[in-house]
Amino acid sequence: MQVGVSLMLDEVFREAVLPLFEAGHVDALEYSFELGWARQRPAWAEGLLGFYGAQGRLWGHGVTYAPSSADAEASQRAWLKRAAPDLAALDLRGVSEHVGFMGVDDADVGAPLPPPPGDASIDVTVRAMRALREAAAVSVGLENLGLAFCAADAETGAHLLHRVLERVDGFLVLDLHNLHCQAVNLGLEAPTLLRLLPLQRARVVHVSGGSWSEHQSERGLVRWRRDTHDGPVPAEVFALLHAALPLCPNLEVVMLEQLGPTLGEARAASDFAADLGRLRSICGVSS
Amino acid sequence: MRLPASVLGSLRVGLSATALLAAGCDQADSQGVASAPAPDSQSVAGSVDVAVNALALRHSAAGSNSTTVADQDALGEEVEDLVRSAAEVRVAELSPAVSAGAAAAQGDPTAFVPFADDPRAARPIEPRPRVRAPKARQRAVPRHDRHWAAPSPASTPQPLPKWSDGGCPACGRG
Repeated sequence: MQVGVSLMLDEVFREAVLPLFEAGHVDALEYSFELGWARQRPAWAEGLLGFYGAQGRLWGHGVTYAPSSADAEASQRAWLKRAAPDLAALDLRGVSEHVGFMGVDDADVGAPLPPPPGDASIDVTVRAMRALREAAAVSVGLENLGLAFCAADAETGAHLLHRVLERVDGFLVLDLHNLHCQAVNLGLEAPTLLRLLPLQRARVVHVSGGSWSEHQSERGLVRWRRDTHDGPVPAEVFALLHAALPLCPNLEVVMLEQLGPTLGEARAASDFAADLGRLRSICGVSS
Repeated sequence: MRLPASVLGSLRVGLSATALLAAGCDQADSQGVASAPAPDSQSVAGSVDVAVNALALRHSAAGSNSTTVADQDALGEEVEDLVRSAAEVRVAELSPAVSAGAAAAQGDPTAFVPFADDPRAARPIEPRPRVRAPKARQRAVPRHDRHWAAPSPASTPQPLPKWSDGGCPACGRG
């Protein structure tokens, strides 16, 4: 079992994680392609990507490919074209995306949203994932979403993951904080949600923190848990990891995610290091 | 997992090429800079790339194209020397860029990853014209849509327990 981090490209992240790399506590790396589209990758990041790729411990991850978007072949081809240099140059162990749609006509809804139930959503997602697999020439995976419009969506989303990953022979990126968000937002039991997912296909686990947003509704003040990657990992997510490990026979790596700019304070960097240490302990990785 | 000295050395470098030049470092000379990829002028990390790439180019020019660990360690040691010498120089131009970036990011807690191009280039969202939909005839559910929930033999997703009265609290379904 390996424990890794999601690579960010900013200076704040570099300074925060430097002690962890110096101590040899980062076994694997995940890289989101879109990061390198907004800015030039610094040399230190290139070095990390090259090293972990050569060791077979580098995973690619997308955010805006939106495999469940209908009639989005043009934008998906554009995404693949833009990602092509990295797909060719980086030694990736696998490439994953979020299940969900992002485009409606020419509008970008800003984040992956749960697709509606039905064979059409499954077929659309399968087509897009096959195109990604052909472009990447490695195994492709899908990550479960944190957002669900209602409790029935949780079952729908799990079913879609089962069917799509079966047809593309892909892997699951099990995001435990997303699971936690669904559970608390919908009033469901997280362990029950966990068992809905194709856990035998889970090769990567994502662990992160998030935040609460509040809004007024006719029922009063509503708190909504969001997967914003800007805080320490909640205790509930560590508990979910304990529950998930025995159920995921093909799990290879647990990735810790946090946005770089949120690690600027000493306390935040310290919490991040502590979370990584706790993950290593839970996963039985020697320090 | 232990990293080689060259990778760690590059990771430890976090200063601008300007600061390195000010410290008397001649590695970010014009030849190296001209040969390196043009950095984003607003990217401090981009200017760091120039200095480190210049080092790599110098090693390549010297004929050390080998990828042995010894060569990598030598490069790593030079990078660390740059760090030590430049550490005595104030990097005033570094702090505002980093602080501005951090402040901008902290002002928007919903920001995830900066994967967008210049937002000013984004197409505006056009409001869709409201079209009165014709009345649909009642049709039987197509056969291919009836069994979307049928589990495949290879996986057996477990259904959620039914909630009690009132259906789904959020949407009323069920």
